[in-house]
Amino acid sequence: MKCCSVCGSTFDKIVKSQRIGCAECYYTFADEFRATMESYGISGEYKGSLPKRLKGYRSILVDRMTMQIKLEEAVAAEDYEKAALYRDYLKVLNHGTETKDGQQ
Amino acid sequence: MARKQKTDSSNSKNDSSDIWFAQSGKYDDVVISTRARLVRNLADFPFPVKMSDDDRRRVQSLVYDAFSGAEEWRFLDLSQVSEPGKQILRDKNILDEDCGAAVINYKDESTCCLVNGIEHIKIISFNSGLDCEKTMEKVYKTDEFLQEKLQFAASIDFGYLTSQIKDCGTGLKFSVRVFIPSIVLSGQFESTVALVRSKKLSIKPVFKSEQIADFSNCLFDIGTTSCAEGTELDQMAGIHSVVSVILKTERKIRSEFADNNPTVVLNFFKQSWARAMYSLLLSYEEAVSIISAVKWGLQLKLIKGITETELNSLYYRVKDGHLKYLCDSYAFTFEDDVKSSVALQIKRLRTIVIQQAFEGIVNEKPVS
Repeated sequence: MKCCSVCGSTFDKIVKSQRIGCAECYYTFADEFRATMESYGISGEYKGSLPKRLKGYRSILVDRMTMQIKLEEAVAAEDYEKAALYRDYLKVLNHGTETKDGQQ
Repeated sequence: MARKQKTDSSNSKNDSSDIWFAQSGKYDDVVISTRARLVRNLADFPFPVKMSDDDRRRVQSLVYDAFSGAEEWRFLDLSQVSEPGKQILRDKNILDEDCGAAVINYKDESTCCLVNGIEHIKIISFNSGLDCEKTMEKVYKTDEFLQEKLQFAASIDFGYLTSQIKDCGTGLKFSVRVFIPSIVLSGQFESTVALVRSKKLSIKPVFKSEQIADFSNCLFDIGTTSCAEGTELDQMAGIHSVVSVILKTERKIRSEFADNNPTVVLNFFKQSWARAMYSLLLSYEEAVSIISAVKWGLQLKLIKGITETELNSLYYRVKDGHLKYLCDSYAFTFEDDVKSSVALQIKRLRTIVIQQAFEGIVNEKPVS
């Protein structure tokens, strides 16, 4: 039976206790955790923030493009409350790059 | 007769107006408060379920060191805090699970950090009314501050790693407390539930009372359920959008319902008013129902002389922990049969707090 090499948890024990033992469990049981999340209706890659040491691979350009897509989707869905929020954040991101350009 | 003293003191440290729940908030006729919470685990320790006592002490000590030197934060080792002290923290929604320590920003007590609960660190922030952005900003400011000194467990695939699979990802969850009597009484609650669920949010009653005309039935917590879908901004925008729709619906229905059911509305209000003014001993649930009915009366312009902010703050001022603190701190003279029981003293004092708060209320419409 697969067992976490750091804390000794098995997947069965995690399911029973509803508690994950340590960070290493996420690598040991990655497939099982993915399947569990899918059963909750959560799929696709993680898109949120990360600690500084991990987040270098995302750029402001990607953030701006993503925000623009979200804004368009919200407008298409007529969710104007959401669209207003995305528009405000897009303005901030655009302003950030304009300031940077100005400084350069 | 219990001797009345001024009871408007929210705790030992702060002036009552400094506390976040005594401050006015956006749309506070419908939204009582917004709460955000962020969970994190330290990278080099097992998660709490697998921690030894030594690990626990080391984690607590690292968090203590991270906060040391930071102004306006107070570290509380909960093993040294008395039960009444813990009750006050529970009443303020600061302490919502068993944990080893709490670090509280004592400026307005709107941000705190629990240590060694289900996760190593849980940062919680509150705001009056609807303000998801500001509430999120406060938890992330604390997170950023801690990340200067602590390294949190995370992976590119799963985001921040947590003890509970539903919390991994951003570690962020929102909860918004709403007061929606018009939606409930007009029979439109089911469509609200359907809207909330269609957006993958949860809706839970704050109290579960059997009585239909009990206004504590009209308070609900709407919350996000997953930390792994979308970015923090998506999660915040999702709940903000749904609550904004509920807010507009409640306001729209409110005036229509009152215009079409003047006697029913007046009856609800008068019953609650009579309970407030003629009771001697009130339970917390009864008090919440009364405060909520008066809040509705204010919105329907049946009364004036009290504000939404004062009523929202009263929800916290009539909780057990705060009243016990008042009983212990001031010399109240209770009736002989009340003196012998702390539970009765708290109920008696709760009634006095409510009656004092309602002293300035005048009827806008004849209610006799």
